Amino acid sequence: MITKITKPKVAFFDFACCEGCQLAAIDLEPEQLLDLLNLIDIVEFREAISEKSDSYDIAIVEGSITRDSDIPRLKKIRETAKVLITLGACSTIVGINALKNFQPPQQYRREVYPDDPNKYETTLARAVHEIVAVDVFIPGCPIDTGEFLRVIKNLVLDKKPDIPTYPVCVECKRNENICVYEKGIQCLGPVIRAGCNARCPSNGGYCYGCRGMIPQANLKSQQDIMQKYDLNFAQMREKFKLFLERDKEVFPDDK
Amino acid sequence: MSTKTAEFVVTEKDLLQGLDKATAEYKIAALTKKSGRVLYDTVKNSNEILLEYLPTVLPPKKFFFPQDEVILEYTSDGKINAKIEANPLVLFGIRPCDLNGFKILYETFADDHGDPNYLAKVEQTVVIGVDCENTCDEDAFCFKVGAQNATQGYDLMLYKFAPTSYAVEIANDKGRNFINKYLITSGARGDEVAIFQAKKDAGFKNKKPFKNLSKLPELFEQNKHHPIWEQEGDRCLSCGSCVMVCPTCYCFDVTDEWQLNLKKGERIRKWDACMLDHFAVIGSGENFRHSPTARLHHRISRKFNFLMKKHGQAVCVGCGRCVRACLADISPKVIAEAVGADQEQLETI
Amino acid sequence: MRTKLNIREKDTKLYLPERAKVLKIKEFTETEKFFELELLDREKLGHVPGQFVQLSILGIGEAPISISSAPSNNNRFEMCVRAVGDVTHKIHALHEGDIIHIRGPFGNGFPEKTTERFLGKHLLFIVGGLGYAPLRSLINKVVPEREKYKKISVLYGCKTSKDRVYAQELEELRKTGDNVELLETVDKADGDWIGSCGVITTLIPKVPFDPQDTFAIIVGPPIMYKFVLRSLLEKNLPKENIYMDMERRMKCGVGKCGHCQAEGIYVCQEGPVFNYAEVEKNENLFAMEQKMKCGHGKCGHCEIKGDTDICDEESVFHYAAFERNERAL
Repeated sequence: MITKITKPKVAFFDFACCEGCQLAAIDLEPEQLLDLLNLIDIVEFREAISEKSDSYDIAIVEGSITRDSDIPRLKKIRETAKVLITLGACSTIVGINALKNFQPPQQYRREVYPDDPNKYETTLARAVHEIVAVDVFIPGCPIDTGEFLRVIKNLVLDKKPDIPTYPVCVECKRNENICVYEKGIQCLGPVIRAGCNARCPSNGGYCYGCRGMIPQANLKSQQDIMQKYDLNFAQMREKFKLFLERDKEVFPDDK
Repeated sequence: MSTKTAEFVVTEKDLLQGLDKATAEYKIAALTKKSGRVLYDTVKNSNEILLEYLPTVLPPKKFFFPQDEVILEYTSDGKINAKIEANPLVLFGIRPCDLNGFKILYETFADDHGDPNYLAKVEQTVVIGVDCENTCDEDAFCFKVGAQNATQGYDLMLYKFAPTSYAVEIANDKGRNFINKYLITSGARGDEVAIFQAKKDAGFKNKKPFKNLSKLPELFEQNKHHPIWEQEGDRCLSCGSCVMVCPTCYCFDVTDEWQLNLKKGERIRKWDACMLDHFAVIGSGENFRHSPTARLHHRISRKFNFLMKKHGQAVCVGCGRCVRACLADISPKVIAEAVGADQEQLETI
Repeated sequence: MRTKLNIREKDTKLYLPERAKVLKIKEFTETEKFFELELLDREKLGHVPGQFVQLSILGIGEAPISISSAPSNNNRFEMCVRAVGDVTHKIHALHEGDIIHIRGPFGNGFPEKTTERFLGKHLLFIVGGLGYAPLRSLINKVVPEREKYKKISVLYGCKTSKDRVYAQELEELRKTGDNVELLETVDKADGDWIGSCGVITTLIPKVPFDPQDTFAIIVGPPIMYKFVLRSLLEKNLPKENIYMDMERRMKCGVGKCGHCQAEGIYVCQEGPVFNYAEVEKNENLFAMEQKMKCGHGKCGHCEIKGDTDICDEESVFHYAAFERNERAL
């Protein structure tokens, strides 16, 4: 039996991102949406409603922090919310936004705004947890909608959100996929967090690493494997670069 | 096996027609090809069935012990019901390695605490085995662990003694009833299994079991700290692939989940893997097998020591699936050899 | 379904929990509560001391909990639950009169053939923290019939006096007199505590025993066993006379799911009570120290859920403290 639940007030916020994860969060069947709205009160959500609110229990944050002026806003959100959730790769591990971190600021400024490189404010791309404490990380680019619903439901039920700690290989095998290495494609699946139901490898792709590394990843062995499958060190770095710049195990020397 | 006898002979054509006829009553699952993958799956027509074996990623245990299975259903007003589901199924073309796997899993799930979900599925399934004339590829080592022959785990066993003819061994009434109802057969002369066996003996001529197969538990007991464990464990990715694809791994996790409307809920068991980091963590947080080496030792020792003693045979059936799946090239066979499985002169054990 | 399944009636209920009503709740510590439950669909639980049940909160999950009451002939039983995970936190939120679900009892416990060995002997209970809960079922069985034993010594160690469970009962146990004694210690003494201070092994020299005539029964956090065992073996207690109750992540309770397996042993089947002589070579049962690297609360390898370092100075069962104390002994 379920002890009576109180509906938390939920607000969505975004920083540097495509807002695709917010869309994925409400990419629901009508019935699911009604069920979700029975569990929570959405008080701010740029993608779906026009209201804004200064009072909320759960803050769901999409996007990376790429400007110093974002920091006070993020801190305010943290102060207000009882629970802060990161939504998607940009806020969880920075991912693609961190590609610029590999370059000196003047270089990426010139590349993006060749006419006026200093016009826009931009700095090192960082994840939300590098600025404020995060309670729950929902990884993925984009997020898995089922996982998002489960996290919200579990928070309402006062249950720990169970984000897998095992790698994508588990899901690939459960789906009875032919290992993409057998097709001659290198995949980051063995060290990347599952929970996406091996979406990319199951649909003709390979794992790009958007859900971040698993705890205790055996990076040494992963590198040996990629080398065994004819990937040189530079190519291997490129594969990891796409999503994992902020992972200090992969790029210890980066900023 | 020379002690086996076939009562009947069935032609390939009659066999396939019989399976088609049986679709009236059963779902048929067999080796088939779907979107480029060879796998055991349900087929609508016997022309989808691959008669020659090719290695699959997952063993057919998934029909008895699915990746995810609801074991309990409940409602928010307190109704609770054990969900035990099984539908009539013919599992066709199961090879000796996997039949040995079925035997081991059955012994596990049919002990004093019988697992109703597993047993119900076994009860509703007619398993038709097909013997192999040779190993399926370089990675398979069924002959090393004595699993190239199966004596249990099937209801009917087929031996292809001529290009389009199978000798049929009947293991039990379930098999006999199936034959009577669906297969057009003729009486066997009596030498068919022997003819097949001669071909098989030739195929396995230079493929001998581990010299110390029966002593593996002692060998593994003595070699808990053999350098091979660290050597292989250091390379292990802890990715769980070996466990997922293993026909004799049966560990599972159990999770509870309310539907989004919080009106109905389910308790689901799903495959878990002792090679994964979280597996042996207890409530207060301690992890009893913290290192990949400790976990590898546990998994391989289950196969050749801990559970081997219980089942009276190696619990690794040498199907080679984990070898094919392991990107780090870790093989139970290599580990067994390292601890002396094939050593000529064993010091007194 | 084509035909009625031919499965044993008892097997169809293997994973089906039954209802139990919460009769009484008492708060012991900040994290531990006492529960008295009443089975609604069965006449009695029919357990032996040391067994456990799986408590179920629907939609959340199951948690293995030791039965802390002595065997009885009615449908009531007791337990002490520490809130550590989702299920146990939900159990803590229950009220008297609420219905929960249970499966069990499971495990070997202390069956009669074991407890028969104890008759006429000196029983040495060595208990750490919440370990009192599973052992209470045995202590409450032997203390009322204490004349059958040579002596009953209960050695109880906690982090601080606030962590003692069944505190009121401990006072009664202390006053029992006759051949029953209770010795307590805390790792860190606070204001009100006037008893001993130090790790549990410091109590062992205070209880003289004849090794041939004594049985030790140990329950505590995983790290405790190694050091208690060493102390007992130094005093020549035969390995066959040592019983241990050991925790693992029992999920199914019926020897299937594999989570509690330590080498060849399914703890939920062959345990949680073990005779030391039978399991001393099972390295995985005692595999705690592999996590500790630095030994002084720095490296984080032995950290539990972010708040306790096993080896940290604050903890009773702190690695370095044990090493130091052993040298002092």
